[in-house]
Amino acid sequence: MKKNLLKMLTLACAAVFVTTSLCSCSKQEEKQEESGARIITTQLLNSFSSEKELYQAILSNGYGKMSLNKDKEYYTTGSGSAALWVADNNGTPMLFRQRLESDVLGYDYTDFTKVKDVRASVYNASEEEVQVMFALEFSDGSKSSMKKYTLQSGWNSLHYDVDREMLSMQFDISKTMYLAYTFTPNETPYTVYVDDISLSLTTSAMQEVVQTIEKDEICSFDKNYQMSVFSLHCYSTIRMAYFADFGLTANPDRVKSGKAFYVTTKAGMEEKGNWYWMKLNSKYSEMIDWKSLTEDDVISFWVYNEGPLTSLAFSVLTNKGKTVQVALNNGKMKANSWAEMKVKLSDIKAAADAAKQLEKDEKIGDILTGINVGWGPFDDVAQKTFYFDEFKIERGGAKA
Amino acid sequence: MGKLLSRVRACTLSAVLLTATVLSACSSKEETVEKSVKLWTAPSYIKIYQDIDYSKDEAYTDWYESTELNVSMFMNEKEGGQVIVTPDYDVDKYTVSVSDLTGKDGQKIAKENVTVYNQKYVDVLVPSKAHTNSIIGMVPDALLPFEKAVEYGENKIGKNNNQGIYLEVDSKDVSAGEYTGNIQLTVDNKTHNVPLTVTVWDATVSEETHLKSSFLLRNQELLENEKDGTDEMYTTYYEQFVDYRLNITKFTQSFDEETYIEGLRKYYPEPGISTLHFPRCEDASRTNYDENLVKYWFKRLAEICFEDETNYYSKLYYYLAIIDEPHLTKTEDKVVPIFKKFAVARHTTIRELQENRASYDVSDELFNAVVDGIENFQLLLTCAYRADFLYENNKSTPENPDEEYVITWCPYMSAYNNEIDAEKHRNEGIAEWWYSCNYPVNPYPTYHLDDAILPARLLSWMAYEHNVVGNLYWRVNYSSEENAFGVRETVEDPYDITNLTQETNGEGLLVYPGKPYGIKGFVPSLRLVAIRDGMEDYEVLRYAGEKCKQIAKDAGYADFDLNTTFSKLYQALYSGTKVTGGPDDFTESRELLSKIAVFADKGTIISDVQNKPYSTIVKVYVSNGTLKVNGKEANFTVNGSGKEYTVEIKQDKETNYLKCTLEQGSESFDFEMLIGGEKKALDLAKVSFKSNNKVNEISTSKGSDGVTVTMGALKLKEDGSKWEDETQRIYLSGDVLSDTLKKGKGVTAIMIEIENLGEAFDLSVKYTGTRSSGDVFTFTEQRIEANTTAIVMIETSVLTWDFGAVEQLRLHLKYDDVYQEHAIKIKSLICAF
Repeated sequence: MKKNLLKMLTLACAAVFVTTSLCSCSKQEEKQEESGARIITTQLLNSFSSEKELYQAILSNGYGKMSLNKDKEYYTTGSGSAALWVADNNGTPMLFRQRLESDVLGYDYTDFTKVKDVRASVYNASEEEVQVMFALEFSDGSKSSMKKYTLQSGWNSLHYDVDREMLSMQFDISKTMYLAYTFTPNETPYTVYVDDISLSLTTSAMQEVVQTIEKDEICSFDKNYQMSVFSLHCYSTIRMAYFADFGLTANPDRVKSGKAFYVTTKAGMEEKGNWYWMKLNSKYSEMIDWKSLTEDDVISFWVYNEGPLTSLAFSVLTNKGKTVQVALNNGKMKANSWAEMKVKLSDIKAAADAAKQLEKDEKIGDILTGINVGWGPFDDVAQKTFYFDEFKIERGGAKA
Repeated sequence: MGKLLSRVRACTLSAVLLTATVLSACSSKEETVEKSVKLWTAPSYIKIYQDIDYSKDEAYTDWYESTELNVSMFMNEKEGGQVIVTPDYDVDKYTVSVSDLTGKDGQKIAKENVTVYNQKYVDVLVPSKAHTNSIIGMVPDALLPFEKAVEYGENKIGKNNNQGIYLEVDSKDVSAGEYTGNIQLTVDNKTHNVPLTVTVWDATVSEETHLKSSFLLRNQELLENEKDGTDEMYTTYYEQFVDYRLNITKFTQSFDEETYIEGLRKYYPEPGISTLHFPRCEDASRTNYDENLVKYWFKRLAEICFEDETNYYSKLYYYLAIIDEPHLTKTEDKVVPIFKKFAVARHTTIRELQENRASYDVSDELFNAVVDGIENFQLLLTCAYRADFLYENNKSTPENPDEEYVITWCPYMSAYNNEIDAEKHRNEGIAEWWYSCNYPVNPYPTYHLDDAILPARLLSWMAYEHNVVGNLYWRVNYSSEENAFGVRETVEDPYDITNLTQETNGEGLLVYPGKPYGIKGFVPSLRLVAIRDGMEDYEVLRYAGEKCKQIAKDAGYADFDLNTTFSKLYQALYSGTKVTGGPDDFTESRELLSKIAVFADKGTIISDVQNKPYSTIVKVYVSNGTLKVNGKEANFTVNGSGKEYTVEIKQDKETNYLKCTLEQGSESFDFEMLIGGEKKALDLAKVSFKSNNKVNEISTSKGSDGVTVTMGALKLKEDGSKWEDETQRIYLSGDVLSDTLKKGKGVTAIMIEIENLGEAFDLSVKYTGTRSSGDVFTFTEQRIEANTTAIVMIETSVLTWDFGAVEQLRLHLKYDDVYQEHAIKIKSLICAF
């Protein structure tokens, strides 16, 4: 395919900086190692040695409590750890978030363009395995995809490599607000001890990621970085814990061409009629010439549904900060087969008109800024896997 | 009278100035530096900001120059007072201790009955939205137990800052009388003493709380700020709130039936618990109620009542959160179906209970009380009266009698500001509740940080006067702020609530987490204490009120109106539900309440208060004894076994009091009640009477006893349609009005003496201002009965006069038939000062 549109996102930050300037908090411990021109600094973010430090962690959702542990058996450095007691409450996981910025203690590690990895020590005091998910939360409310850990009894090391380049395609990682650990409840309440949350800070510059798209391509998923052009959302952070897996696949049975994007999600809470959404990231979306779209055009993509029948929805984001939604495939999607979805811009225009999103003399292309695809509702307990491929624009497709 | 946080004339809490001088040597220059600490006192119902210099503020002079702390209280009450420390240098450390207080005959209030708190401050940077009298700055709020302030090194004071020390006296098991003791403060090793006098009045605050409340506690904030979202922490908060006479909306977080019933049995007998929430009946969608669950619980609870021989229904209610503020949450269409759903469940349950009456081995009294509790179950709807929600306007076709419902209205308390609106809620509801949040704002009572503290307390007084049985509040522990992206964040320091995402400061937050100070449970706020104090005041009002009503009944007063008897209690404090009074007025009203309670105990009541043009006539019924005024028995008529005394108090002085003494055998009881200021008539001859001739014509006839105004029939508009409000109108104007009714003239009320020469009408008194560009404002609305003479009293003390002077007084008269001629006589127009 002929490349006729090339855009470069320069994500590099300053090549040289002084890591210690990140933090004025004298209590934080630092270790440095030098590797060529790169300096890695290990910054102890929280050793949970005092109530003030404990207060840098926030509990949300779930059912349980947190206290300062002073029993030496359950901390590694400093003089304490965070004892977290998690009990079952209709399966709602417990969210434990560590602040990356503190007015009280005077530190600021929100700029993750300078962070290489995140580490934590967690002692699992129960005899059962404990599932914990890790994600970064950003100041605009967005969250990175979750990484799952299984904690064995005793001490566990949680290590999260910060893929700055990939994350930067989706989020403004210079405004990272929280490290979010989501603990899934077991049938029996359990206690874990969280200690020594640390960051590895690096002086190395982020690599440039060159993103390209073909004419009228929205996303073919044929380039590896396209794994990150859609971010996944649902009604709450906690439900995100149920995103089991996502990524690119080259399985010939599950691609239309090249590679395809797959998402495996678990059921939502029945009473919520939960829906999941994948949203095209705004940075990537800026490369697409939405403005040239007319009512004659069509946005199309392929979807393969491995699960039971599910409704699929499509929405566009407008420059009014709103979404305009249209149902797809009569609201239902067949299982175990590929289906091509075609969204007429004329339908989107009609929906935008109804939602009073279009000003007089405005064309539909003038207001589009992105697309979202959602599926649901999850009224059963089935796990669902979808494969998406070949998001593209078909010029004049509505006339065909 | 009629001031908000105003000049102090007489203050029960007198105050003290102690200036301590400390000589210290400056090590570098060997100079002698004089350091001084000013100690002064204030009552519990004012806020002393940390960063305001009160030394030159005349409104605070009496407190700022005080020399001792006086607290006046009822028996079985908690009442506070403040010692303020204002040093002219940075204080490193201070400590406080209180001695036992001793009274007559060896009686005492043990020092353990006095709890000392250190006040913490919130930096309020921006006035609450729509507030007109916001005071921003370092506002006192959290009350940290003093020993915790010492333990955590917070017993320091910055140079020239005011540090409040709050002392709360508990008069449980204490006899009436005067007690004296001492407060010892050690400031940087220098000891100071502040005398403490506690006067305990001879009336008791009931152990039982009668005013209902539904204050929402949210678990999410417990997790965030207490780091503990367990049932144990929730229960700790719940029970701690009971100590403040307030009930958290739900006593358990659990949906489990056994847990609910266990909690019901545990909490129902508690005297401090007036309100218990019905079990949760939301359906799976959480957007409606489960009909079967509602039915199930009505019957299940009835059976538990029979099983335990206890009428739990007497404290049960349901706050319909799914249709909370339906006018704002677009749930209006759900209101009627939900009320019908609950009605069907109630009526079905009652029928089943009655059909199975024989199987319930309980007394008829209990059975009927339970049935009555189900029939009159309080289902709270948080909105003002709306006719379109009434059952009579929503009957099914054919009508299903089981669907008949009555709404328990729970509007903003401002809906009770005028009598006509208040009446709708009274007449059409099972019971009256109210609520507040970001709105309304002052002069209505609020719990906002930058408002005065007294209004939070006065809300309970208003509730008693307006017969409101419950107060709903949406959150006690809100603590979120928004970042630059509008994303909700948990506040990092739960004591720094400067930037909460509310339109008004401190809204939704009345308590602070104890965990940062190693306290299990919450740390109270000055506002929470004010609410609790109001709840206690309510109990005394109720106690005295019930006594008065019984005495009136025994004496055969068929038309006895308690609100008339208590009118002088309320008069200086508020009008409708707008606060007009300040701390000194409150001090006087509390004192008066103590006298009324004592009088009631002695079988004596104020049986009537009649507003006259230049005076007030007070009638006092004495069941036993003699009432003396100026040492002589007052005029009386015999009423059964008692006497009704008539005392006329002329209002020709700046302040005019009823002063009398009740003598019973060898005992005597002094009584003093502020009647009001001076009353002066305006010259009616100088008043111009007009109307809007497009609406109706008027003609006037001036006589020696007033001006008779005849209103022609209401006209139609030029296009043949009717005027929207369909009222006949009379406009009063003239220099005599605008020269008197303006700022600085000190008019607290206007009285229009009206003789109604015909049928009854609703009167709305409006006004225009000299600077109000044609805007028309409403003063008051009330009913004038047929062929009577009434005095329409218009409180003006709440006005800011930003409209200039009153240009026109407009009378809008709503008769049953406005399309015919009517006449009234305006007998006098009097200003009360």
